[in-house]
Amino acid sequence: MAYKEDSYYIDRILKYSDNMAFAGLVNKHKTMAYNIALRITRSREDAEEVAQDAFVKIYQALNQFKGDSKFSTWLFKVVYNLALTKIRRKSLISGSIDEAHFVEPSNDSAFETVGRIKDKERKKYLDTAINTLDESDQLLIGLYYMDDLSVDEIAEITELSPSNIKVKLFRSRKKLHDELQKNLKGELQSIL
Amino acid sequence: MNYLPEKNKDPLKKLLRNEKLEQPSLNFTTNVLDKLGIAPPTPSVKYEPVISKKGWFLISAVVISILWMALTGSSGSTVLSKSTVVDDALGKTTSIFLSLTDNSFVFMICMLSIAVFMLVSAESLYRQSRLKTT
Repeated sequence: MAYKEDSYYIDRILKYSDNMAFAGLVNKHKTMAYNIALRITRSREDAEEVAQDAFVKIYQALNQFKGDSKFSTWLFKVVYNLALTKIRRKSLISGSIDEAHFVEPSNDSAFETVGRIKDKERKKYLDTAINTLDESDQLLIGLYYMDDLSVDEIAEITELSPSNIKVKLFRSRKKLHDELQKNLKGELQSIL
Repeated sequence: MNYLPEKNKDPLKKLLRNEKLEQPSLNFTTNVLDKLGIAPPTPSVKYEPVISKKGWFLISAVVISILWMALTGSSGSTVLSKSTVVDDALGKTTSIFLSLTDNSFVFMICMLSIAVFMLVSAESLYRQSRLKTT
């Protein structure tokens, strides 16, 4: 379904008191909001509740939206914070990471190999590899690669510095690559 | 230092692009609107009677005239003359029924009227039950 620009819905609500226009915003962003919440809470029920509460908060503060950043970034930040509150016993994305020197992977052969595997098998390999990452790293990989958010957007949502995010993404990416390579090698050996 | 490859050229991006996002529940939006108290007003169902008032007058007129014809014997049926012989109420009722069954056209009209009456009653009952549930 094709949606209009966020500003269209926001104007309808703020200028014309068309409260039902908010349904358009919810429909447009609910999948992303839900998936961000799901990656943090790891519970469908909690994710649903968190995402819904985030929309409620956003609606109540909509007149404070200045448009300095994207509406989606603002929404996802609220989702992120509410999800963290929900699981406050876990400390996600805590502490800063030193900007150490990392060695770039020699090549992306493991990613390319997995890409040639059939869908079902590929999912199995990917899920196994992703599950080896920390929860915070899984979240960043999800936001960056699956939700297609930019580093700056993720920085605004998570309040981490862009360089910190890049480092974390780089580490996670390398770990994923190594994990996939290890699993693929094991699989090939078992076949041979 | 940025070692991340350009996202669009990143093979990991190509891999994960195919991963489907989970969908929230079907009533997600409704729940949000409910929490905000801005749920869309349920469209009020306006029930129109199957038969209008004019229709009822017409049906009544037809039924009354049929009954009058049956009672007075203006149809010229021989059975109707028998009704004058019977004095008691039961006898009259029986004779009316007999006269109706004797004249197939009149009988058909009566049956039709009864069918219409039953249909309208059923519709009215259904409407009432719907109003109770909403």
